[in-house]
Amino acid sequence: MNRIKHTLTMASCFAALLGAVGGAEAQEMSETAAEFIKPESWFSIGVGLQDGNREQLGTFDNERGSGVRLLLDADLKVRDDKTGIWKTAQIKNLGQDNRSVKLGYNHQGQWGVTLDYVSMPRVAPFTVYSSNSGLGTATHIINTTAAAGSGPEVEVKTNRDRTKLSLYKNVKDHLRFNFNFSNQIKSGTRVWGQRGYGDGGSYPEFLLEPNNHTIRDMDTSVNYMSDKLQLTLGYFGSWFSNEDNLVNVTRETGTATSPYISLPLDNEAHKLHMSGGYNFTDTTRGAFKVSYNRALQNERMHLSDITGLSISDTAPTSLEGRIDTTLVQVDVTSRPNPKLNVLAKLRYLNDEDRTPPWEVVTGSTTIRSNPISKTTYTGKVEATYRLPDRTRVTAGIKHEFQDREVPIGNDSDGDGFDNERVVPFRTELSETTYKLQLRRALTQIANGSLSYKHSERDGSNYTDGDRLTESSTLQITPYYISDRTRDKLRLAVDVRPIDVFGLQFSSEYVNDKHSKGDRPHGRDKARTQLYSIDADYAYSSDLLFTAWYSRQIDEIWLGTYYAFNGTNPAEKYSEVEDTSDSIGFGVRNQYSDSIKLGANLLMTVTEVKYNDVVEPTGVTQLPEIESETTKFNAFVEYVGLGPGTLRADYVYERWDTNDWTWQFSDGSPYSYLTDGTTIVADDVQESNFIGVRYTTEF
Amino acid sequence: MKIKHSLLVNMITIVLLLVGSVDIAFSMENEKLPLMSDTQKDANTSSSYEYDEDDNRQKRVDVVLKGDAACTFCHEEEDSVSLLKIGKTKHGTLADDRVPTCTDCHGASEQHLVKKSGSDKRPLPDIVFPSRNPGIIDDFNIDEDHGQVKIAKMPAAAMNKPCLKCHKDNRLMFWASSAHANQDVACTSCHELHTDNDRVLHTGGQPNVCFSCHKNQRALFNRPSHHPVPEGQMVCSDCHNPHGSAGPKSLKKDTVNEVCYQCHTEKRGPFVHMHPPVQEDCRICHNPHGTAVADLLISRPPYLCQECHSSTYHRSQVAGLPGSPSSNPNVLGTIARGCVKCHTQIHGGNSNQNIRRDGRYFR
Repeated sequence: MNRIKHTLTMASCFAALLGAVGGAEAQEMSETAAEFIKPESWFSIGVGLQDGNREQLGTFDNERGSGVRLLLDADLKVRDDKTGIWKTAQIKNLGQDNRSVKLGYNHQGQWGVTLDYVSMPRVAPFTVYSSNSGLGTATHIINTTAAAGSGPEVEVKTNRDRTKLSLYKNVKDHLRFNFNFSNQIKSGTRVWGQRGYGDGGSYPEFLLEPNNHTIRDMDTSVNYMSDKLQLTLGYFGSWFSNEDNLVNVTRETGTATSPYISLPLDNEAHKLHMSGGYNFTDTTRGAFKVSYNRALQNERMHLSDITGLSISDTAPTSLEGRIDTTLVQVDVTSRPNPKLNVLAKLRYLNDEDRTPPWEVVTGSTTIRSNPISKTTYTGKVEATYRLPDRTRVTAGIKHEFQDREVPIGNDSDGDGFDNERVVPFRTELSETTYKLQLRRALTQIANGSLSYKHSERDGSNYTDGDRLTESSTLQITPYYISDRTRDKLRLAVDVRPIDVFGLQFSSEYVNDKHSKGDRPHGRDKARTQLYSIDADYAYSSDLLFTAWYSRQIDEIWLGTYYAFNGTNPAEKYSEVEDTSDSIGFGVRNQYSDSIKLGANLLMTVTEVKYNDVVEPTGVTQLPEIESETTKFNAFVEYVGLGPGTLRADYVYERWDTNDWTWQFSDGSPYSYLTDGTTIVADDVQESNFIGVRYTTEF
Repeated sequence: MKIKHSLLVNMITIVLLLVGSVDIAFSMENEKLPLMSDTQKDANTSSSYEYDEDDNRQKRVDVVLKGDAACTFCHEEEDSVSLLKIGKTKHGTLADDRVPTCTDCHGASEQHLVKKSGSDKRPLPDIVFPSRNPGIIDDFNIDEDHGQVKIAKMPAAAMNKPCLKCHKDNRLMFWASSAHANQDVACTSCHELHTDNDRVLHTGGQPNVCFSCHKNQRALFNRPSHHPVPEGQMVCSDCHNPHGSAGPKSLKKDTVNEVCYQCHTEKRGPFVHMHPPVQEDCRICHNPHGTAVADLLISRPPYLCQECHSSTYHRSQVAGLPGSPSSNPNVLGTIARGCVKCHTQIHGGNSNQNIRRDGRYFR
């Protein structure tokens, strides 16, 4: 005891002597701490010069040709440490078409507001020359006398401008209100067309679809949160409106007998939802969601207001379209003992199309609107058990049953839904999937996972409809409802033999075998293979390398009917194979305290092969398509010129393809017969970009 | 926590302070700090030093977070993981009394704080998070600082527990039953905490975080037709909720189509002339991650259309390219936009004209 007292006394004396020094030290640490806690902001400005053509690779930024770019980006964050109020601004690509700005004011833990603006261009990766007039407006005029390729260049581009407002407010610790509203304007044109009528014959003509859309979403919810119970009650509303509802297509010469093409009409959807979670114990939790959504499309069809048009008495002037969707889902997870995890899910989803089955077209052939409803029941159980040797085994089963419904039957005179159906239908579908997975930490330096899934899908008899049963040789099994056996194998291995070097390998194999029964046509099988390897290596803490390679092969085998003009019946077998190989390299080097270097290379080669067999007539094969994308970028950063960082970037991009999508068989550009509209896509596109920017951090 | 002290340590510390050569927090390690003068108390009540009135001496100091002194006593900014940068983040906003301190996330870690005598190795903290994206690693951690046994026997669920203690809003309602949770993905597999630039929250950085495991999606996004994810215009979380959801494939919405309608709302209909697969599931014709055919089609017409349509006349045509502009529909189903050059309303039409052809998605 005496010793302690003595110690205290001595220490107090020394401490008293240290008063001034200690204060200075404390102040210094305080400033250091202030640096630690100050959020980082930066502002960057620069200029870039681009040369070349990047129609394909500039699809989403509209930087397709040569020119100068303003490079302006910023990430600004200010926090008032006393109040916890954040003021933020994130600016990206302000000098370009794909710009975005996000502003935030957030009293952390209390309330916050965010305003977010994004501009997303999309430009057609080809050039259109057309003499048609009024393209992209509500009135198109087909130039029936224009020679191929004689028209002026036409811009084909859409732009989405989305503004989003988000608010939240916390009430004490347990309640939170969220409100989000977004307004998205999509404007511009996209490639469209029509089947010509009257003097135009029955073949395609070129049009541009006017896109003057407004999409509004409102998402609001109130959330209750406690340690045991979480509840959310919300409303989601979505409104689509289209400035145009019809396009009137006329011709410079001749008569268009059916000159109007409809456009998407205004629609809206309203959803009420409630979800929740409850922790029954520390190891058992249940979660649920219940939602009801009503989608409506009931705008007046303006064709009804145009005099002189033939509108059936039984056709609607407003579709009165309505689809009600109800979801009930319950999930339970539990860990009855430390080694066992169990997951169970039950799901009920009902899509009820309550749109009246209108008789839209009458006369020699009746055509009706054809609502489809379906109810899907899903159940899933999965268990994971932890074995002693750092291995986990997972086994599971999932069953899904779908009850599908369409209007059936015909009128007494033979007209009706069955007679109009051109694709077989199944009223019931059922699929069971079994899963087995092993995951193991093999050693301290390697880990692996192997999973296998097997599923069987079948269903009720096909409802062909009268239109299809006229010939059994036409019967097909649409791939998305056909009987199918699927085997899926996935392997992943992660190896890090030394801290500075790692390898990651993954492979996936999916094999679908479709059974057609006694029906002659449809998909036979499909297969996907993926092989991927990633590597990283740190030569030193200042020099890092990454590399990766991926190959994915997708194949589809399809057997279909072939009867050219109703004669010369034959069987047609097609194999379509998509292969993509991608390789990437990256290097980062902190060359010195003031200089940092880096480079990336990405190359992707996509091959599409077509192999058609037609018996007994033979066939001319489609040429295979090979497209190659190369992207290389390098940068150097220099610290020391003033308070910021000077950075120079170089980007090289190349697109090389023999894609014949827009070409005739002799390689000449595709053109439309009537109006001479011609579309040209450059096979080889190359561009270089050099940019210099200065970034200040504060 | 009060720690036993000795006079000798106090003396040494004070001498070191006098010469100003050693950071007091660093030098004292497990030992209690010296007494403070009244001057010190006044000068430092709001900053790095605190005074223990009961004991009349300095306590370990908090540098960034309330109660972080237990850690910042040894750990400093120059550590391989910049621990103190937590102060720049929302987890470092001291005005928000909900923010945790180091031990709230890493555990009390008493064994780590008090090294056993005679041992030259210090046990790891109670909860250690992976220092790199572990992918399939479920209970590994490489601890570079301590250069010792590199396994922290910490299942992902245990690592996630501190996060879920506070983060329990509606975005995480279905976390426990999510694919990520059941594949032992830790929050820190994707999120970086000790930085105010968590790259998974940024458009430029998020896809690479996801691609570190989802190689299939990386391969598809490199195909010529894709959503603008590689271009930084979209991110995976525009469609998916990686924290789990009531939708399939962890989609943000309850169904696939509902996700697509967020942007492609004009396809929602319903339409007078409805194309059934459109209403059923957009993925019947499109792969949202990427394909080799324009408009994300899983294959090009006429192959795609003939997956369902088997019929006479031009509908059963063999794929081929015409040599010149043609009026023959039997040779026009492949070139350019294929079948949809004429059947342009393939997502559904709203014409109520009394003409037969309207029912074939022409008008």
